[in-house]
Amino acid sequence: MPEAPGYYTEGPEALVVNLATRGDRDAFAELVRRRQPWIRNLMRRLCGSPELADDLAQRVFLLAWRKIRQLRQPDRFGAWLKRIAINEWVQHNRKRTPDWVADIDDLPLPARAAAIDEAIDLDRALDELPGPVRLCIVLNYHERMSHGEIVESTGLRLGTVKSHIRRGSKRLRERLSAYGESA
Amino acid sequence: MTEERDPLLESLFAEAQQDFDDDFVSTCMDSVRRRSRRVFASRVAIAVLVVAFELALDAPLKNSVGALASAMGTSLYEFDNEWLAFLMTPINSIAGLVGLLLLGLHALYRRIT
Repeated sequence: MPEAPGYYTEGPEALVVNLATRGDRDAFAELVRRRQPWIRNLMRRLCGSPELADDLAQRVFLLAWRKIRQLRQPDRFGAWLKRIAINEWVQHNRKRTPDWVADIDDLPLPARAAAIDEAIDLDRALDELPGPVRLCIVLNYHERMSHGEIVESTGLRLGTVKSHIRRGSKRLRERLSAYGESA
Repeated sequence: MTEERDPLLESLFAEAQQDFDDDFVSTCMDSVRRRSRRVFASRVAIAVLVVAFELALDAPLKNSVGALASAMGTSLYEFDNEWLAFLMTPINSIAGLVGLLLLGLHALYRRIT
């Protein structure tokens, strides 16, 4: 892919977003270049599988391109993109994961014998959490979002978010230490 | 409950951050281009269909509209007095009857809701 012109690579993001909202594909390519590590890392924490994470990240950018003309505040591009990413993951998860609303206490701890040769793997441990719990944990730790911001982004209730983070963190520590002991 | 984060988990999340050096941007922009082409092609197809539809149905459509318009103006009652006929024109036609019927339905709907 050819390099984007200098005024794209060096320009402030709001300006590049503004150009992209007017249908400038090179400007949008620059936005993808700037934001892809962030969105792909977020998706990897949420999905567990790198292939699926990249696939969803690509769909996020495609959706962003389709909707970018509706973006009224170019300086809010990051927050807007994150919301698309979260919605995309939630929709994907609802379609394919039956444990979307599973209770965290119903999940068994990992069998230590099965994990003997495996290194500590954050994504694998995250993948074993129910969808909403994983989402709250990732937004809290990876995105460093406050409980209030998570409520705003996910539509979950504050009590639920707090409970998911508290119980999810506890479960994650248990799982990671189980892997650690068995490694 | 405070919003404090577990330091161990925090550091694990920080360490898990990856840098990517692959062709993701190209792949992504290829799908953006493909989508743009699809959207363009579907718009052209819709425009062609609209024009074809217009060409094919132009005459029958005009005839139907003309027939409907003349039918709507048909008087329901023939008045002997010219002035009375003139005053009653707005309601003394099929169009007037249809209009009154619609007004009645609208009033009924508003009363129900």
